[in-house]
Amino acid sequence: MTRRSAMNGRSFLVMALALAAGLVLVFLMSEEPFNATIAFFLSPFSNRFYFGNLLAYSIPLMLTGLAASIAFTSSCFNLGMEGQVYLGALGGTAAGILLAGKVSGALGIFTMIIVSFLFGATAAGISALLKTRLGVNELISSLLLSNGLVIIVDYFIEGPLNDRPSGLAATVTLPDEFRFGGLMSPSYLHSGIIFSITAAVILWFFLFRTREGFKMRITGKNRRFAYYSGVDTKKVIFWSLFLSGGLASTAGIIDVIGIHGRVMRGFSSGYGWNGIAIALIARNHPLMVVPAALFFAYLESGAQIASLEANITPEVAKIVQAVIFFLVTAEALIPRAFWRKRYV
Amino acid sequence: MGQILYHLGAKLSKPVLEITDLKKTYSISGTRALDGATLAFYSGEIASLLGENGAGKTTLMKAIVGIEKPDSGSMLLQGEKYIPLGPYSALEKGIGMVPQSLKVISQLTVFENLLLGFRSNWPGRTIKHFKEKIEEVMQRYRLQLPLDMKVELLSTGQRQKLEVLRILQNSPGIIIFDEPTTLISETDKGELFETFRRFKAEGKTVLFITHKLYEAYSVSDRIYVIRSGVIIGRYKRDETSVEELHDLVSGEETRPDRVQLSSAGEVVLRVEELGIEGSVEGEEAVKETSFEVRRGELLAISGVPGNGQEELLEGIFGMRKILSGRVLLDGKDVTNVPPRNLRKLGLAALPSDRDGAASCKNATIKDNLVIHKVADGGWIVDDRGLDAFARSLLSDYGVLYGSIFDPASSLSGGNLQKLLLSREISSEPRALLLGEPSRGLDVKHLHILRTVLARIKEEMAVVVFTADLEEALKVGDRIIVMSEGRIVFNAVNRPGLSKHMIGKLILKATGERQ
Repeated sequence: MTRRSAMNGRSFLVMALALAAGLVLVFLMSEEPFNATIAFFLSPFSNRFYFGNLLAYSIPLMLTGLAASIAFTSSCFNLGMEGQVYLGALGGTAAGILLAGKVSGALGIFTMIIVSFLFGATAAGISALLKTRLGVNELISSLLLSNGLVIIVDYFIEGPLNDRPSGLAATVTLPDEFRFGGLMSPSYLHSGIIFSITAAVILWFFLFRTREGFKMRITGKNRRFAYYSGVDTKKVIFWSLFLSGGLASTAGIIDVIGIHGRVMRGFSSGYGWNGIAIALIARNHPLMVVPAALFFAYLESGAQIASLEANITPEVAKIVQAVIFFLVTAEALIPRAFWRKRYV
Repeated sequence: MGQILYHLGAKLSKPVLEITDLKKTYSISGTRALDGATLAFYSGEIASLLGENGAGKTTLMKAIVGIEKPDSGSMLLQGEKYIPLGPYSALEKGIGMVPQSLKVISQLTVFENLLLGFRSNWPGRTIKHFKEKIEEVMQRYRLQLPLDMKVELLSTGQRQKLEVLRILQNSPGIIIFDEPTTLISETDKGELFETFRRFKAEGKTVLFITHKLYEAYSVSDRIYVIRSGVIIGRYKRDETSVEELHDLVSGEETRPDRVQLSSAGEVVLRVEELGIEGSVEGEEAVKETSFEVRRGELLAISGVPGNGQEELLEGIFGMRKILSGRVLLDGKDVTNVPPRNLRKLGLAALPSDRDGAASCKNATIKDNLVIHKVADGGWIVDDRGLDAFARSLLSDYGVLYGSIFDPASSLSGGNLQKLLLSREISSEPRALLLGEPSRGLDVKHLHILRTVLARIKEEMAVVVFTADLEEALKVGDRIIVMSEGRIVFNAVNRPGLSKHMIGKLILKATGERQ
């Protein structure tokens, strides 16, 4: 059963192998391998600041991971998440700037998230409509659309919404009441993590307990069968991409509300692609997205800390991530016997 | 070297392959597929393994080629211990298997597929060398195929030939055929058996797995009957009769008979001048087809596979574009209406494309059963109610399964068939279209199917699409035969109507048209 099989040991094995690969790399590349290893693997847990930042980094990754999962579940590919995250951040922030001083903090934040959601959902919805009406491959349309969106968002950051006095490539800052409270100062961790985890639980409930979720899963497994059985597959595809785009967007705005307080040029670069990797590790299971995102954030912060404290470049994390991609996509590499027994 | 040994074996009549006390229990579902099977095969013989759905035939064969690892038991190949590691290693030792569902790559050409199947794909050899070699094999067994044609353009019968060639080019001594006759036409069947005999003449061993009594009886030298994972009968052909085998296979005496209702009710489904799009855009697979079905009347649509029957079903059920004409359900125009709405209006169908459309093998058994019920209704799925529904349906139709949360792929072909039938019938439609309902069913289940059909036709209009004309004659109250997308025969099934007669009538009719 999907619920159980998603939890099998395979994903853990992949993570363990990736860590081992990281270890080997650290040993090969560092002059003081022992210190570097400790910095890479253990220092994220060594103090509040590092650990809090690790958690903070996982917040948007959980959301993009969920966004990718829901699209994959119905066998659709949303490759436009990079653009959607960025657009969502801008849309939400613009709403926040307009509402500044007019509404209460909670309502402001709520509105920003909704607006942001709709921005990304619309972007993905366009790809969905192109797919269902005209048969345009959503893989291509979402990617191209996203590339265009990034440039448009850049224009708004540099142009109409730019914070001129600061001289930065960033928008005007949001008022303080439109920001999340910090949870583990001095780190960047903010209460947005509750939002991400709640989103994962809600999405799990949606996929495995509701009628629409059931339809999405069956459509993803065999579209022709679903259509024959009486599922309106076009509708299902539209909604799954729509939700995917929306969720990806909230990743952008949550990061703005929680950490930066403004949209900086290119701040969210990589969130979208990493979301796809996370969905692959989590095998599209919403609840597994949470640990997968944490693992990703752990690698990332480990590499950053190691580059500060030992002489290792941050690229090591990228290589380890690449190893994960490799292992996850090349299922055949791992002998079935390793993980099969967990099914029973 | 292998060849010599085989011939030697034939003279001494020592078995080529000896299987002793093979046992296998599937860990996921706990099904005991093999329970101490012991049997032997000899060179220069055609041996059949006969049994019901889920009797363990396929598992036994998978054990022989190493796809499944038996829990215990041993195998001796030419007197030596034989432990296969997989189809590739089995082929190296001279055992090849033609699988039940054909595994060819349809985007590649015939030649490319064959090249992939070469056991020893020596680097440095030219394309020409391989072509010559393949052509030589084709000559020898008279299995001709156009080498440069894309496989997707081949008929099912030709694809099977391709599978056979893929094994043959590696010149194995033992060739296993797993249910080879389910998908192909009568003519192709004849050719296949001819190929069997050619192997036999060469001193090779043919292992023919089937649930069809007559086929096993007519072609084999030796017949093994398997039931519940045990070999319960070992015969040389002359030692037994079809009747004896029949009783043994099914475990009970059955008498196939058609229940005819005295009166047919109102017209439920009406099809007028239908033209339906084929797999290639713009091509018409069904042309100017009209018929009507009444409640209480079972319409059987037959004909050689690939003459528009499949497209007709899919077209009526909204899965394929109708180019001209219309479909009326209870007098209401439902042309090009999607399945979703047709189901609400009381039409149900089982497409003959089992894996692609009728079932979802990687979803759970439960999901396969309850999908209709989930397609509409409130927000939250009533999981407990659906579990109960699935379980009761499965037990009503005697489907053998492990758990309803196992994937549908864990079911044997016949059991999956029963599951799908139960699902469609349980929706209590006004009209039911069934594509190949008897495919892959054994004697006992065929009988059950016929009883079920006789029962449900009292309440609904039933259309059975079957390539097997004999079967059509057994169940149908009215028979339609299609050829090249048109109806070439349409008449009430009166006693005395035979396959032979229909053939003559069709010939006469087509002759007149030309």
